[in-house]
Amino acid sequence: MLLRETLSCDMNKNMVEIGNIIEGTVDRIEPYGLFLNHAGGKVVVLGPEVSWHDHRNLRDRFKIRDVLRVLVLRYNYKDDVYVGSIRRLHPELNPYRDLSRLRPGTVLQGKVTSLAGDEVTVALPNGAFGHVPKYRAPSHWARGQMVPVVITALEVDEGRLWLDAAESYPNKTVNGSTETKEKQAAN
Amino acid sequence: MENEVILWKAPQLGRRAEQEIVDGFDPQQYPGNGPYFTTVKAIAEGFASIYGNGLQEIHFSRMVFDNLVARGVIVADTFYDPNESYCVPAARLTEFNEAMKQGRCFYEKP
Repeated sequence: MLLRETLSCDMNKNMVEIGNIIEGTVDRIEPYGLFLNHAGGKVVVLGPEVSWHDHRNLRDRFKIRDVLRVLVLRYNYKDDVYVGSIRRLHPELNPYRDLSRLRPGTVLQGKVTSLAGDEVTVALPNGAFGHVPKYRAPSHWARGQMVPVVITALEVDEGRLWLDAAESYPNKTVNGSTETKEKQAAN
Repeated sequence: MENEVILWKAPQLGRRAEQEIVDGFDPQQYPGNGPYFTTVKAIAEGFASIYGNGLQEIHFSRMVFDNLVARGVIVADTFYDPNESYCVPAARLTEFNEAMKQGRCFYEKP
């Protein structure tokens, strides 16, 4: 059977499509996420996708039968469940969007929150956090320390941020002026 | 390709996170699909910010990790992008725990 024929046989008017915004009714609340019912189908919103800023226990924030709007991100074939996001419906609250408006090379001050693995985690004052590869981070960085960093890559909607230590970065912007490696060398 | 794979887990509040890294994961505490892991530190940290119980970190050599996946001990999941999310079914946790002993495991307190 051709793909088009297969699709037309299987299409269902109630079918959820990736990228749709749907309404679902909360029918289970777990520490790791919310389970919603939409037209008989299961939708899960994992904890980090609920809110950009509010990290309280989900059971303190939602109750069974709450009706919520959810952006559908993907379908988990193994568990037969749609995976959605609530926070992505609120781009105005997305701290990573604020970062995307900064001039490249802007030096930011962040707090080291984790040294685990091969990345140093740095939390920024606006609630975003990112990672500096350990081989790029000065050896004196310690947990709790405020450190200067610059953005090297950013996925705004995903909320993922890659950073570099400002002192290792060649073209950083300090107080609006660009400081190149040559200028640093001259200083 | 990296020679090592790091699996991250944010233990829920109430879990004996430090002990799990030493003794392994108890199948009775993780029925069904078992514990979930991610290869992306940022994903685990997203959960850790909600649970407030630190981060578990398990290093496997690429060879051991691929072998565990091939045998179905570690099962790929699609809650996140491919190669980012995995679970270890309760029935296979004994094998996973054995493999953990060959790797390096750490726990970072909150």
